[in-house]
Amino acid sequence: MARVRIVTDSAARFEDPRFVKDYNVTVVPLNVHFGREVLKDGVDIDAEGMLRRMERIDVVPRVTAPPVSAFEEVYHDLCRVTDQIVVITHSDKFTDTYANAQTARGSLLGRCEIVVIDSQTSSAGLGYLVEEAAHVASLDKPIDDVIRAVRGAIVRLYSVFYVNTLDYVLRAGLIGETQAALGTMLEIKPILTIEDGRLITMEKARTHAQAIDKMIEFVTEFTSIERLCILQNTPRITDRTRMLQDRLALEFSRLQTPVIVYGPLTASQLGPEAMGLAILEGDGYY
Amino acid sequence: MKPDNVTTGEGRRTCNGQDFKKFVQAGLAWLEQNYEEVNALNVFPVPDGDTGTNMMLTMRSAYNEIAGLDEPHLGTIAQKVYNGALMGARGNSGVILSQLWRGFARGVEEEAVLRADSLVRGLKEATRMAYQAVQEPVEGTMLTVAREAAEEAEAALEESSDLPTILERVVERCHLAVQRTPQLLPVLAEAGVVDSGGRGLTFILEGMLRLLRGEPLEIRTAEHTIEALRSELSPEDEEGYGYDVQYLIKGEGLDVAAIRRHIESLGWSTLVVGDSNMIKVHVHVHNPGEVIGYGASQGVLLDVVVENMQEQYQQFVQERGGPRMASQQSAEPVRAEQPTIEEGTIAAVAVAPGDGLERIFYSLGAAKVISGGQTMNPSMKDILEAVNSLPTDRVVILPNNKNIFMAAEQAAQAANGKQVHVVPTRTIPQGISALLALDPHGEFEEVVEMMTESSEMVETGEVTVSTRTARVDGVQVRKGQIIGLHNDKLTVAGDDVQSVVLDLLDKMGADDLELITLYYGDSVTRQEAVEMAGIIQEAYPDHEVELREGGQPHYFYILSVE
Repeated sequence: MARVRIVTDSAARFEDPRFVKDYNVTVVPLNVHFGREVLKDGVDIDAEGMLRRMERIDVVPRVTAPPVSAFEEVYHDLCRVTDQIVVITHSDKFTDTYANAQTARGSLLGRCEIVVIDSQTSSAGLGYLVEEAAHVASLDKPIDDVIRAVRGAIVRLYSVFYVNTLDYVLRAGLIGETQAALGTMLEIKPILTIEDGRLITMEKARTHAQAIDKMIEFVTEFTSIERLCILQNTPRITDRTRMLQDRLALEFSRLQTPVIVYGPLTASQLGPEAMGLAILEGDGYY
Repeated sequence: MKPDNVTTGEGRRTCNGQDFKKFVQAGLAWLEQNYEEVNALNVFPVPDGDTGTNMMLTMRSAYNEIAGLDEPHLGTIAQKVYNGALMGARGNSGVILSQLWRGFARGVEEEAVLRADSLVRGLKEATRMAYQAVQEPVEGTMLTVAREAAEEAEAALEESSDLPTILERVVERCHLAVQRTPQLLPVLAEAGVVDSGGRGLTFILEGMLRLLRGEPLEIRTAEHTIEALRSELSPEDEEGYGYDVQYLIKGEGLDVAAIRRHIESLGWSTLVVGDSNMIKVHVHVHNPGEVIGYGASQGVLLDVVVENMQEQYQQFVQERGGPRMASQQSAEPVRAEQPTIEEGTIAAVAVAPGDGLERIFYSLGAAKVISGGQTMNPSMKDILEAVNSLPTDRVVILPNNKNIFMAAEQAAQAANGKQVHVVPTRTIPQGISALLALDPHGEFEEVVEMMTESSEMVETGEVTVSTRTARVDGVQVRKGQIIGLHNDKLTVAGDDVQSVVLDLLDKMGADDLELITLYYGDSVTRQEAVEMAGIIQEAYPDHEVELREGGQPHYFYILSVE
């Protein structure tokens, strides 16, 4: 039986960009709209390019799902080499990607087993799930094992973001009415988290220092951390990142804290000056 | 004055509940005459919750509770006095006063009439209860004066069981005790004042003594200001505001009791005192013509004053923001921003002066903002009603002022069936910081702890005008100078607002922090505030500087640095 193939969308971010190639993961690009111009994420524009552009022209791009046809194309191609595909998409609360990936299955019904999983997360968290799935698949395990591994990891994933301003979140329509009232009178730097696939305000800070404190507090509540990465808007280690890394090193001496640049989807939601952490909690066997 | 139903002099050893009502009324009346003197005994040269006003309003609420009762049983009346005092308690001095009444009521619980021995028991129990109400009792305060009053009463009882004799000694001892307060409390000595709460308590007891002695309880001067305040402060209880009417009746063989009965039938908040030659009438009525006509039929009218209370009230609300619930305003902007509170979540009640600060608290998720603070302390009832009005049974109170702590605590205890906790925020910035940590869906104890911790993460600065020349916290200030307080402590003084703000920021350790927030008061124009913010930004180019309209009275600026 052929090896299970893994598909994801371009919201997924990886510590090592070569991973996708090494493990034969297919990435379906999201569309990035700057006004009438439509660019394919990761093909026509990369994360840094987009962040620079956002800062330069002060425009928030719209990020939309790949069309059904894009998934159909990918499924047809993969069908030639496998009859089992696992598709892991970012949270269906953000775009129509999950729905489009599902719809596209119709054209291959009976010919190929395609399972689409809503990761209920995005960015580096989604990347962790894809790596987990690709790793299990690479061991020639059956599709059920791959699905089980992904579902088992979804519940261990946590993301927190700290944004300078809620403007982008509000413009993206991601936070409900009650929470939208937050920070309208005073400048608030909210700490957001993803819960059930939605971005919600977890805590509120007024300064960078307070925000860093709250993020550290969040991390120290875990008894076991399998993986952790810092999400930011540049591959450079900034002062803020260094501060966060130093604080984390004090709390967890052996923890790796790699830096990943967040992608266009996150940038369109949180703006060009956000900072975040993705955590995969240990499952207790370590 | 010869009160109609309290016989004075030797032989008079008891008084029932109705007689006692007159005592309470007399205590209130004498405090009303003298509350400004009590207000002037402010240790800190800043405009803040005035002790005299707070005690007077507390006493008024106590008296209003019994004014219409015919109950003859002393214990029952005393209990009512306590209820009224508690509900109306404003400021820490008001709460302590209410606790004195609580103890007194407990001491005379079983007594139908007040005898010398029950008076002593009442005073002793009052002292015990008041000491208990204060977490860390300090000598040289109202507590000391109350304790010495009880001691003196006990000693006097060994020699006489005559009420006037005992009360006379008690009042005399109170005066001495008040004089000695600076020896016990260095901060009083430094400020050159005696304790204000002790002075207020003395006035109340002295008023009672004056009633027994038949001495007048009214001083003609300065009455208009006192009475204006009276009409302004409790009008929401009354149907319409009506007119405040005062006059003197001069005549022969005037029947005080009959005149009082008739005046009482014409209006409310009546005060009729005097003797057969001269009677002072003070009453709130809807129809001033009627009460003036009646007075003229009894004798010659002198010093007639008629004031429109509706107008005064509106002016008052405009000028200071009354002790009302912001949510009850019909003006839309505040209401529109009030978040809806879900059942079962944790909600916050905050006290804040000024429309701007009110809006900020609402925008940060406060469920109710009680208008008030520094200069107008809300009553315990104001806070309790705010707590009770929320559709949730877990509530956090942010008093945002030290002088509101005790009233907030009393409200927390009185809120039946609700879990209520006071997060002891002493300043507006502390309250805002605490509110940022409110997680409506969290575990109550944990949320309270987080909010308390969060409130301590901010430095507060306040800039105002010195109300008098004084030396406090090692800083010498002249009356009228601009002063800056850092975390409630007088820290800098100067002659212009801008340099005081900059000095204060320096003392607050702004250098090492990131964000400076400036809330400008109602006496500062937007333009002046913008200029001030610009100067701060220039001095701290790497800091974030945020300017917001606070709208608070008396304080040019409230600053926070974090």
